[in-house]
Amino acid sequence: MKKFLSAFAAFCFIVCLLAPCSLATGVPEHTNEFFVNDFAGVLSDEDKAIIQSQGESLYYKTQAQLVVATVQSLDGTDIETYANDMFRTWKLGDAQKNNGVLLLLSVGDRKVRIEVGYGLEGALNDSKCGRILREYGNPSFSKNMFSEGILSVYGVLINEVCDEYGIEHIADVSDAGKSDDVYEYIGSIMAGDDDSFDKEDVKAILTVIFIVVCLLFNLFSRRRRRRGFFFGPGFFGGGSSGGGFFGGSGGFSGGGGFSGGGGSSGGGGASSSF
Amino acid sequence: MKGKRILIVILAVLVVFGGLVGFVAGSYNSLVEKQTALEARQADVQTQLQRRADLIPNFVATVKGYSDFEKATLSAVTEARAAVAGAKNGESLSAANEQLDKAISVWVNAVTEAYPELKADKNYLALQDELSGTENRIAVARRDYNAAVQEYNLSIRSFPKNILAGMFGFEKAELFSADENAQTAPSVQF
Repeated sequence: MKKFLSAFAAFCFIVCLLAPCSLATGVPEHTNEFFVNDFAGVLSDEDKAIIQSQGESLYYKTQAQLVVATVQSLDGTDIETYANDMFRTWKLGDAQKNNGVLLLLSVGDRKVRIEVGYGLEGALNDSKCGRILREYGNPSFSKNMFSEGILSVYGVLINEVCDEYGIEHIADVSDAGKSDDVYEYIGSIMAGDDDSFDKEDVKAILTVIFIVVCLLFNLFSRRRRRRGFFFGPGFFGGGSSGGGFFGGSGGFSGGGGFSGGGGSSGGGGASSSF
Repeated sequence: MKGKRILIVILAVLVVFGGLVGFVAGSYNSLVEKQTALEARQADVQTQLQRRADLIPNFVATVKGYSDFEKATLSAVTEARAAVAGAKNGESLSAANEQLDKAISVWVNAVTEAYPELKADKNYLALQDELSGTENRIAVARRDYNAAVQEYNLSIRSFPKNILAGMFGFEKAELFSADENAQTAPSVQF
């Protein structure tokens, strides 16, 4: 009986561990570069490199994550919903500061959207975003000059965020290029880990430790012929947290790449068609 | 020998009892957590609806110069907004908000049809962005609320928590569902 219960506990533990993690459906995974996600293949290599370096620069200085994504089609969803899903799945911006921005272009639907995280809604309010798209984006987009348009809009956005944090403008006519700053080099080595260690992780780890201890305890007690078993309170009560072990922490990066800082968006920003 | 056996039985009973208490406490707390999250998401929706109602006067002021003769449709907006501000409970607030939705779209359509030059007016465009942004925020807040409702309902209906839910009086929450007329979103032509 005792052995069966230990086995059952182990089985429950494994089931909880394998419970499906939650991922929004339909949103592609971000690239390793993270700041440029040219799924539609409309950005030139030069412009991608510029955007990437500007994005990284802003990230090191402010933890803000300005990300570009281009897609061929929105698959029937409206761009507002798609952008918000993408933003939340990728968790743009720092978890505390919520300073993420997503610039999403759908080539097929001829729509573009700037989705702003909670923390930057003051700096990039809806009307400002609309104006930026109309003035810096649409003139190029309507002529199918997507790379130029995106680069332009991105530059303006990044400078707005710089203003918000009181730092020097990053975007320039002559692009940034590689930085010699040794701190940024160190930062690039250390960057990419999602350090957010939230409540779900703590619960899951404690559950694991607890179960392991129970199993060991039962195993070793065989010699002393103890009756009774140790099945611990709250095992089922907190069971729903077990599945969150993988889903809750998110942002595990594939060695060296960047990933989302845990931020979210409430739907702020503006869209435009061209 | 027999005394020892009794002791072990008592210990086992205590452990099981302790386990049960732990389970009940854990489950109850989790239900409370989910219910609280749900209430917070509901409050978020109300906040966004309020934000929209607050934007309207700005919107009106911007186009005041243009819209002097659209007074009939404009007064519908003003009335609807007053109804939202004066709504006493959740149900009348929802109804008032839907009225405001319709009044806004009717008015904006009328104004832009009568004054096509508005499309180039920067202030008008800015407020159009703000209005769209607010509508979007309302939509997002409603989606988040529904997600919280789903999680909560799932929790109180799944075994074994459904037993506790019944005992402690946790009731199923209602999803937000748009009014039938509002299913086709009022198309605002700018």
